[in-house]
Amino acid sequence: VELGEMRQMLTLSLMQQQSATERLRGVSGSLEIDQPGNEIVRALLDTLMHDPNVNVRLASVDALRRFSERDVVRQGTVQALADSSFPLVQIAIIDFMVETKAKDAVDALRRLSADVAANEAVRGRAAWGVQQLNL
Amino acid sequence: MWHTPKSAAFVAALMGLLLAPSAFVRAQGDTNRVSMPFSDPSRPGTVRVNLFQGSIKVTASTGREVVVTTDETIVTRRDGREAVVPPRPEAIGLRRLTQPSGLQITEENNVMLISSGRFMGGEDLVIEVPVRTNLNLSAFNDEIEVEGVNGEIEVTSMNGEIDLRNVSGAVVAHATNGEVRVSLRQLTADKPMAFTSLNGDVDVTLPASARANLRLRSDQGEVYTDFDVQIQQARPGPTPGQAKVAPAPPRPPLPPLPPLPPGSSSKREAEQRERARRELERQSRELERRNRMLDDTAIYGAINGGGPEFELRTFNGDVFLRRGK
Repeated sequence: VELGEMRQMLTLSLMQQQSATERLRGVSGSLEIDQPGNEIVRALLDTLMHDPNVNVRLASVDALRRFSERDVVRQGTVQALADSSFPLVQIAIIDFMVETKAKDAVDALRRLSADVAANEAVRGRAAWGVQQLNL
Repeated sequence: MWHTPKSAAFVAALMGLLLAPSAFVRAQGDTNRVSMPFSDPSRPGTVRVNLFQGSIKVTASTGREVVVTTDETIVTRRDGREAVVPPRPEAIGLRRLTQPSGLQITEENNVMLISSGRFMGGEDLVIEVPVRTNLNLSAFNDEIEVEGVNGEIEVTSMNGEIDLRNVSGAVVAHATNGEVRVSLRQLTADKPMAFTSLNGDVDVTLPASARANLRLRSDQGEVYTDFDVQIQQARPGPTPGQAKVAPAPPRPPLPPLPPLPPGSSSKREAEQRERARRELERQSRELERRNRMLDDTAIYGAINGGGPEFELRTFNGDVFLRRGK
């Protein structure tokens, strides 16, 4: 138990670091935790929505995959999809939704695919996502 | 190239020199140059640059100070004091009441912050740093180049390309619309790295002895390497190009819990509840493990026996992973 808790605390503290390299280490370290608590899920969602570095956000999408059944993750990814600062992150979220069969995200994807302000590759991917989820 | 306003500024600076020979103007051509030390030069400092317009070029030098060269006026702040380079000769002896505009350089706690004080920014920057320096560089419209620096290097560009040559340490780089080109001479052990782009190629050269777990992915392009990559798993998933791929089978329902044996002693009930709880936990672990395996079209592989995770990813470009010396 102590070892698991230590690992969890280490991961959480890495995710707060100034350096993007350390935050990446924290995000991928979360995959090593056997039964991660809600704090880890919250920290990963926080990273997905607010981390200043695009590559750290991308890594958090992958780390969130194993929690894709949780409502908070489904809602958080829909919310993060609307942030257009990093198109590559939006595409990763769309793929996440398709792979985890997030049917409840179809409306958000449809809106994004029709958003003329969105990146072109993102719009195309969103349209593909709607099609995949409606199969 | 001759821009009239700049030549005018140059002439003004020259006149300043003639009129006030004691002024500490160090104009070279129409270029301004400022040298700024870190507060604790004995440990590696960090240089952070954020520009909307204009390119960033960082090179390693043997010096211990950071030297910034640009065509802009430079305003430096350090220990509460402020200096403007070059000062307007007409203003000598007068106090300035407005906020200064131009390139702003501030140093605090070994972090040097360089940003444009103007609305859109503008000029290109050349920065010399000590070899051991951490960098955090971000540009919007123009390219970012780094040569020979050893440290944690974080680089982000929206429209320009990224070119890191002969660097060491650990790199996290993203160019949304440009190419990402990185050659690493030496890696810091156990540090993860990431090199990504939306529309550009990702071209990375690692030392031949680099140990890493790789995650390589190009959605619309190809992945090339001359490393001996031990492929670990590659699970093809649905991609837009193959929309006819059959949908993945639905996740099997959870197996039923083991039936509770008959009996009514409260101790036995507690035991049964405990057993049921453990079984539920086991199942949820199993589910999370399977979700973890459920992955995308990325190629996973290890080089030299594996190590920290390196991600190379682009949406529209190609990925090149090259074996250096």
